[in-house]
Amino acid sequence: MTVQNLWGELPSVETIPTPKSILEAQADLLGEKTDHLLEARVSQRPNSESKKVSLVFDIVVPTLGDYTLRLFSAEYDPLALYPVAIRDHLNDGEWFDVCDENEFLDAVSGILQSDAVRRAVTSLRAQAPEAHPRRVRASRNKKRRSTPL
Amino acid sequence: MATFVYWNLKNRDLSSLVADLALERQADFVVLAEAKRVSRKLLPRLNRGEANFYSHPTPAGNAPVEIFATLGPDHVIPFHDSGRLTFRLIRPPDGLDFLFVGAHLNSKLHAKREDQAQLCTEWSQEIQEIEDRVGHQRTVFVGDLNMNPFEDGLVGGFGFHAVSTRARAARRRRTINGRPSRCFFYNPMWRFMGGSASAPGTYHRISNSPIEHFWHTFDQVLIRPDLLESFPDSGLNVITEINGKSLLTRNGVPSTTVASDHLPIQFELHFERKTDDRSESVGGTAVG
Repeated sequence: MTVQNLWGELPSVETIPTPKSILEAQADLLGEKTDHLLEARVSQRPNSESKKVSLVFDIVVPTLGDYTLRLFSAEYDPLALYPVAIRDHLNDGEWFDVCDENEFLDAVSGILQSDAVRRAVTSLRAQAPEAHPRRVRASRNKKRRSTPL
Repeated sequence: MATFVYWNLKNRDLSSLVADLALERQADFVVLAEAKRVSRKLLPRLNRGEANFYSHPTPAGNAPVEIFATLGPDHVIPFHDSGRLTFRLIRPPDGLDFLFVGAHLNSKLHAKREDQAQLCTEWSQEIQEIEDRVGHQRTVFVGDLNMNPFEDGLVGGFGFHAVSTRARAARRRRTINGRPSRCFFYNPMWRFMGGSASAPGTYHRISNSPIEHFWHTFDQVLIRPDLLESFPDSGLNVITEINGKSLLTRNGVPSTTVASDHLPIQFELHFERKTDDRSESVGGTAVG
């Protein structure tokens, strides 16, 4: 007897972008756009008070001894994904909630394209190659080696 | 030994006074908040005598405090920034590395006390993260915190956890409802609140609010347990005059005509000389 599929087509987990995966993609993009003079990192903070996922988004400058600049924090319930609470550090913002993916993308875009972040990126990018040209080349080579074929 | 002076300049051009202060106190580090108006003028004035100061701007160009030091860029290394906090790794030529955190935290004009306390839990976590990265807790935290030493954000076990005695701070941390607290800071500024001292605080305010402390000790230096031996209480002062010029009005409060609505503070750190044995034994593990 053939078993009838009462589940229908289950949504693929891989196709659901989580706030974390969205931020990680943006982090990767900064490295690509700056020839890896600047990179970005999404780190998950331990959050023992609640079961929320607590993330921070930092720009990293490998040629300045891995100097980091924290842009914003984000928190959400891993079961529900939204709302996501966000706090913009450079613009001295307060925590605010976004209710769905579109609002999240708008909020992150607003922070990444803010004057404060643009000024910081310009300043860091200008200083990065001057710091240690040899390390820039090493960093680029290292990045190429680690890229999956 | 290194002498630090810290001052919130209220966005006034006090470059001559700051230079006089640095010279008079033989400062090695000059740390300034609300100092955009002096940052370009100050360096030549600091260096008018035999001193050789360097400016240490943050690479991102947006630090909450301006830092000038007699140590050069190889010894004052930008490590991390996040709007209200700036972290520098200090490598004295003849002592152990330490982490310098400069801060200018949210004003009470824009944040309620409860909000300030909540933000302190985030900032204290950030300090711990950076300590984990550098691999030690030899940390000194300085700035206009816009809170008094007794307020929740400063004292709270998941905030800065800054306590009034060395003995308590030396215990490193405690357990709160089964959870490990943040590591203690020692807050020596408790002894600069009230009393008959010439400066019963670092900032004075008059308002019509029924509850008004008038004198506040917003400008503070906090010390991690691993730096307690390097920090003599006797080296800490709230400064009320520079070269004989009083920073106070006739009523004994900070004069905004002469200088700023905040008073400067001065403190010393005695660096420990590097030896193989000592560098292995000092520091300890970053704890949560």
